Amino acid sequence: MKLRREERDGRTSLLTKNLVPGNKTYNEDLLIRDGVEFRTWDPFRSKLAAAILKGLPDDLIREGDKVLYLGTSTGTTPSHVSDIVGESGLVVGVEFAPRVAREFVENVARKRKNVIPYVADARDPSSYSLTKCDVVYCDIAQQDQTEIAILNCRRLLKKGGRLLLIVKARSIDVIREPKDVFREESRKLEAAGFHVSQMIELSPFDKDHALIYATY
Amino acid sequence: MEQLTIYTTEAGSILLRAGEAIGAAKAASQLLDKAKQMGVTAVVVSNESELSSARAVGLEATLIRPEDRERLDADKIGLIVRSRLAPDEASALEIIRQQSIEAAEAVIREASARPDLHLVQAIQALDDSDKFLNTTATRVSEWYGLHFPELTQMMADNIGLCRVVVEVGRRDGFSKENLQGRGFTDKKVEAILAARERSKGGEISDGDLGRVKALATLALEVASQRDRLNTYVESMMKKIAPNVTDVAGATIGARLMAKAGGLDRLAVMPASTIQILGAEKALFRALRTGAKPPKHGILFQHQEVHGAPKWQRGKIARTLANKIAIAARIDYFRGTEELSVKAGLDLRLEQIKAKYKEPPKHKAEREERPGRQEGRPPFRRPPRREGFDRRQKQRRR
Ligand SMILES: C[S@@+](CC[C@H](N)C(=O)[O-])C[C@H]1O[C@@H](n2cnc3c(N)ncnc32)[C@H](O)[C@@H]1O
Repeated sequence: MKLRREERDGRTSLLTKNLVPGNKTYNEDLLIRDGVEFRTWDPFRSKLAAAILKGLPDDLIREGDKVLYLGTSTGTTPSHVSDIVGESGLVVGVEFAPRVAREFVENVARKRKNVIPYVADARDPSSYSLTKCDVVYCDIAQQDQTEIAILNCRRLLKKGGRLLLIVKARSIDVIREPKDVFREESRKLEAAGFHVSQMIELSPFDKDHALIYATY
Repeated sequence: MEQLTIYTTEAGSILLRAGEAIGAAKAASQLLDKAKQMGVTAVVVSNESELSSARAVGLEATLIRPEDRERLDADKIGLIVRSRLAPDEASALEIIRQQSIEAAEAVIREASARPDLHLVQAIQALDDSDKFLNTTATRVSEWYGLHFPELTQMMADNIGLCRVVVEVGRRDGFSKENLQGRGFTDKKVEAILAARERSKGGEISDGDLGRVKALATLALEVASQRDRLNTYVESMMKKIAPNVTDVAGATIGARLMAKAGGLDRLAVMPASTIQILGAEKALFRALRTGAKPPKHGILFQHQEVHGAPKWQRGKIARTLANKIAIAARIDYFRGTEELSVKAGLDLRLEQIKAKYKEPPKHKAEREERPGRQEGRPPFRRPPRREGFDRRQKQRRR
């Protein structure tokens, strides 16, 4: 298994099997388990880890999967996704802010053979279309992010593929109750032909954030 | 008639018939020759440069339709493998990966050329131009006023005056026709023409008129250069500091950046400093004499501040400064647009306007509070944390 759970001090922690042994992406710890190197995966720094700890099934991203990752930022979460899909998988990472994309390219894409980086706008999938994917992961904190996610899925997600959408209530509507915002975004997905399976609020790891899991 | 498509990928170009690969080559030009040999007369190509090379060899060429392009893109890897540009999917991905990394690094390099520093120079050049324009146009007005003082008194817009001086010249030359289209009302035109008849101005020699005209021409050139700078500042601000632009406006945002010394500096500045950027003199005077510290510097130029009643201005400036500080951090560290900053600002401004609708009743308030009858205590400088910070920063450099 590429993803591993451990109980420590009564708390569950997550580890992913390091695709590039010896290499750290940020300041995570490297640990040896059964002779294999793993990296600690901090739920306070990664919303995907937070969602998994709060009940998102472990197997939504699998070994060998192709993942379209929108909004990689410096690459914290993408590096763990890269660990999970392994050598036979692929992470197509899209980030449009050059400053953070630099770290992503240097520390993640250059080091990991299963990562292809694009400095591009997620509103324009034509610049990074190369293959249909099993998973679209979208964390871009834009007001129209749900529409952007739908656009990308229509073009690049396989039928029956999975969408993991991070919703930050405050970047969509500053005044409305976060719960209402999450529900509204789910409804948009349903209307676009998705089946929403799960909505997980990420507190206490992240305030006013939720992950929506939907299938296409 | 058979129509072939040439689809160009990172690994090379692929010749397609009915969506399937029938040939491939590193360069599209080889495929064009091949298509010709096959007796094809028309091809569909995937980019502009292929369009012209196809036409150059006598083929009829059209650009691929976006929906067809989309279909090919979604299967790019498969096509590269099936056309044997790469032995397998993994090598196809590796070719694309190498090129993507290079392309990404090129974009990043370009962005790291510090466009904000150029922007800072541009906004300063803009302010310089304004100063120059002001003095030069005033000079033209005074000089030309020796000849036609009534006109210079009637025209508030000095740049407009420069234009008339260059285009019309001597006061005898003024007529209904050449005054039209300059934004004068009919009444004003009448007045100017009447003034021409009984002007108290003196004669002007050809030589002196030439010199005034040359000066006016210079002012007009500077004015159009100024407009170009302004356009540049606005479009550049939207690009490199979209959130600051959203909250502060392009010009004020750029001035704040200039005062701070770049977007990076503005991004680490406390809101309280941003609030009084540009009012340093007043601040130091306040510190020396115990007078009230300034409530705003550059921010006074913001419509929301100078347009507000006096007693709200300080609060509005503080709110603006808070939001600008957040906006600058997002712009610098994240480089994305966050609509919530502007929305939060609008909300706060509404609250302030509602809550402080009425001017404060100073006297009554003061009398209620004992110990403050003596008036405002002198402002004391807070402990010198600033100096400490600065020293630390220097050590770090
Ligand atoms: C919250 S961060 C992502 C963090 C990352 N997913 C992680 O967990 O490590 C959001 C990122 O999306 C990027 N972004 C926002 N809008 C985008 C767009 N239209 N296209 C591409 N990236 C975008 C931002 O620059 C920012 O780095």
